[in-house]
Amino acid sequence: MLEINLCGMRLKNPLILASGILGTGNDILRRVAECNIGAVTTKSMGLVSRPGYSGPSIVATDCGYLNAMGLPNPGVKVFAAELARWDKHPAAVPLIASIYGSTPAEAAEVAAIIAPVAAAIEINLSCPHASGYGLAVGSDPQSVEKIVYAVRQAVQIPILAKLSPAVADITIIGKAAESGGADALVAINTLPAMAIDITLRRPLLGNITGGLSGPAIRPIAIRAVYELYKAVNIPIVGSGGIVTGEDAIEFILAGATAVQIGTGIAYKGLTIFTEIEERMRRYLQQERISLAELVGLAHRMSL
Amino acid sequence: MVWIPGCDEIPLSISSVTGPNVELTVVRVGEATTRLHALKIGDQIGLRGPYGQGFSFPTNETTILVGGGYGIVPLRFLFHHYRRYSPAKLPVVALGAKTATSLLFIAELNPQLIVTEDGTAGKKGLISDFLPGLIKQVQAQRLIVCGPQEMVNTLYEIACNSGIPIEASLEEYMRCGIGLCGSCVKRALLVCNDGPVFTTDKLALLCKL
Repeated sequence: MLEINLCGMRLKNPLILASGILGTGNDILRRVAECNIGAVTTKSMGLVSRPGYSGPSIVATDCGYLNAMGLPNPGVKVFAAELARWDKHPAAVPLIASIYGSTPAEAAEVAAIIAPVAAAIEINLSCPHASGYGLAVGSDPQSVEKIVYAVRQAVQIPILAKLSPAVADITIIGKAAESGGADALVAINTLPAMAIDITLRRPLLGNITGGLSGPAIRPIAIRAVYELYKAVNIPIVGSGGIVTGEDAIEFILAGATAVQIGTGIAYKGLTIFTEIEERMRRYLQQERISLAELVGLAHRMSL
Repeated sequence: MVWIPGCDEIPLSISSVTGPNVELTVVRVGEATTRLHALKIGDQIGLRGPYGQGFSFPTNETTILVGGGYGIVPLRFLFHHYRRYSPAKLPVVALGAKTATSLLFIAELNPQLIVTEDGTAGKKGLISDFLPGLIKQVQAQRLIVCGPQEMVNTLYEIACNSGIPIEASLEEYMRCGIGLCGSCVKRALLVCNDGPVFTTDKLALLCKL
């Protein structure tokens, strides 16, 4: 009932672990994969290791979290060795590798190294707190098209482009990724934000600014998915503040084929996937509608 | 999680709580702890937490608290809890360290067993050499431990061989502390959220040699 085909990947449900959350190693990803999930995404990896920023790297705020981890990762070669144990059996949960690069050539090299162990590549074009990476390249449509195109030339597996909402018009970036050869878009990554401690009178995050995630950004994400759905012809994966089944259904109605869940785990733990799956199942049964029919249904202008 | 402004945020366990005061016991090992040592009275730091799973508090069992080096710090907090809420049934304390000067809180915890690697205090050797004897002597029903991973590994085996449950507080580098970032993952377990105190069944995954 909830099975979907996302760019040729068969997912048992439309729920995907978002990048940056828990995806540091094979065993922990395996544990998440056993939680009623359609696919999992690794933490973002680059050509060489990055230590990440000094703490604090996360701050709880009203309706969400601010984080500035700084893309900590051991580098793509270490990741490739770690994930070589991932079960690539057709029935296993697909593994999406999140990558970043400051140039098209660098992104292509990272993608080529990790592609043999992954079902798809997600290009992080949107990390709001890593200078030279992520949003630094993801806000320029020409850079986005070039990076996606370079990765397209380097790998045969599906490519997802993860977009930032912190641009004037997300559809321009989405169309650039589509022209570059992306098979799907992921919208949205976190929003640039910050918090200040009034006792210490200092920014709370070690990196001063970070990215806001959680329920606070859901309406922004819904709008981004809604606009992208009208602008592109490739599937969209919705992401941003999903905590309940209702939230996930809202994204599907806006035009998402699948959804990513990350910060919601801080509120609900790993049972969040089962909770959302059950709610979606009940909704489809009660409404007598299929998941495929639900995609983008909010775009109808008349009854 | 302890925030040292302008430096970093690091995971520390609580050493003692008295009224509104939280006491931390900090060993100078790196930049953040060096900065903590340099603080003066009136300086301010940030605190968030506590997070994750804590020690159990069995008051009807004979429990041995085993501290290896600075690992005694969170056990001290637990010992205070016993002193306050279960004064009639205090746990037995066993302390091990490299050398006499690394033994903390002896006067306050009144340990039944003291072991140092160099023999400068108590018995000479490793705490694990003498623990089976203590378990038999006091007829221990549970071990609660904190110390270096090798010590925890050995004590896990000793507990299994003695047929008693064990709880261990493990240490790992942490960033978020709330089960999101995956920095503190050991096998498939998160030290911040599934731990830092793990019970026998989880330790079976983490302590196998």
